[in-house]
Amino acid sequence: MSNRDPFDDDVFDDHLDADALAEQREVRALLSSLPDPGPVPPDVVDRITRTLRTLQEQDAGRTPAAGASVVPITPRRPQHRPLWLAAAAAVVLAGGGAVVSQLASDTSATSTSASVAGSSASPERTSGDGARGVAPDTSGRVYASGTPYRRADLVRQAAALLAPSPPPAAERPGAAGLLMDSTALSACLRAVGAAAGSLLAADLGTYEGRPAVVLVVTGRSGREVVVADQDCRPGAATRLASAPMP
Amino acid sequence: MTSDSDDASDAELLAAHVAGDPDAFAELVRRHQDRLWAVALRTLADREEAADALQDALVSAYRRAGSFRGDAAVTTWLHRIVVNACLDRVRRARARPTVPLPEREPASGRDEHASTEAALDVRAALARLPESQRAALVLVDMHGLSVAEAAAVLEVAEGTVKSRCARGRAALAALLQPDSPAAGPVSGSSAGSGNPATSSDVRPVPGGTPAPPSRVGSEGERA
Repeated sequence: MSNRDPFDDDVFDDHLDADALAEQREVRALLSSLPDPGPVPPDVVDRITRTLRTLQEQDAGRTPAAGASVVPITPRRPQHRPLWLAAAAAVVLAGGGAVVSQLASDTSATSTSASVAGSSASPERTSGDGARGVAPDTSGRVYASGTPYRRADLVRQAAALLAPSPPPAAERPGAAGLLMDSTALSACLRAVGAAAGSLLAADLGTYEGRPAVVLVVTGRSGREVVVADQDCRPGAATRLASAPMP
Repeated sequence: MTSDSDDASDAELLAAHVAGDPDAFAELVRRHQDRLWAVALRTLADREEAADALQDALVSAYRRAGSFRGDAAVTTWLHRIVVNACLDRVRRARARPTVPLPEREPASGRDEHASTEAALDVRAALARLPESQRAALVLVDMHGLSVAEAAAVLEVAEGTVKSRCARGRAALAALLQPDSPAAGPVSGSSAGSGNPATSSDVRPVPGGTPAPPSRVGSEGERA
């Protein structure tokens, strides 16, 4: 598809007299001068994305959870960007706190996402339609709590992600703009050697002061916590730590 | 789909989607959605109608991807589906009764609005053309496609595209004449209200179609 010169005579009928051709050129110039509509409005992108995601879920033999979130139709991340950075349709929080996204889970179909306002609130799983980032082949709780994970306390801290009432989220300015990207999450799981469907919980925080993603997965020998840096993708992931969990 | 999809061709993405890649179709949509949206909005001149048409089209493309034979570019195929979705909406809407407009209001005379009003006039006039002419003009004159590309999208001969464009331009010229009896009311319209299907601001053109162009060589479409 190409943009052509609005005065390109190739587009005109071959059987026009001079006056008619002049009129044709005028109208073509007029039409060509109308402003471009611009990009697809975000709300249209969102509804189309949801529709396509629903189709995808149906194809996969799954019924999407109520209010299930979707992979937004937005420009792909450049490969060098950190896993968690995404531009659009984030679960945005009032007051700037943690971001919590419940990925589509067959076992928690009514819980889709939650946002936590303020710095002291705990991430809660509630229904809502503002969620984004369903993973087609991952399930589990996904948080961006900003929790400072420590080597000595890693297992206990990770276990808290599975608790009915997860621990309070640390204040994390800027976290509101983060988005869990299902594709990137799947890639991250592969990068650290975990199966795509093994995710129980993920949290965006720090590990020994370094930006990290903490993944609680089910492995062959049981649950384990795996910590990787946030630029977690095949070929680039740095596995910072791992430990079996009770 | 891995990050390699950034480099994959449209055809490769479509094939990957057919093969079950969960991300390939979304990537394809990302690449072309703005252009497809422009076609839909320009054809329907109504935001909501355009959104519905685009959604219908993409759903159709998603489901029909397996039937893509590769005899046209994927983007041509996508444009075709979008145009057809738009024209389906136009036809369905024309089957519904329309409400006659009140008499045309006098022009405001405000210079600062002149260009905007002119644009609205053009859009409203475009919306009154037969859908085949409208689609051809949208693709060729507004969207910048070559005649060959538009012919591929519309699945007609290049001569037919030229003929439709010529007739459409001539009809537009007549509609945009200030004193033309065919010039319908366009005042107070907006970009989203030009669709005769959904808007009440379009008065039917006598005879159901715009006056035929007086200086176009042929009434019929040439292939």
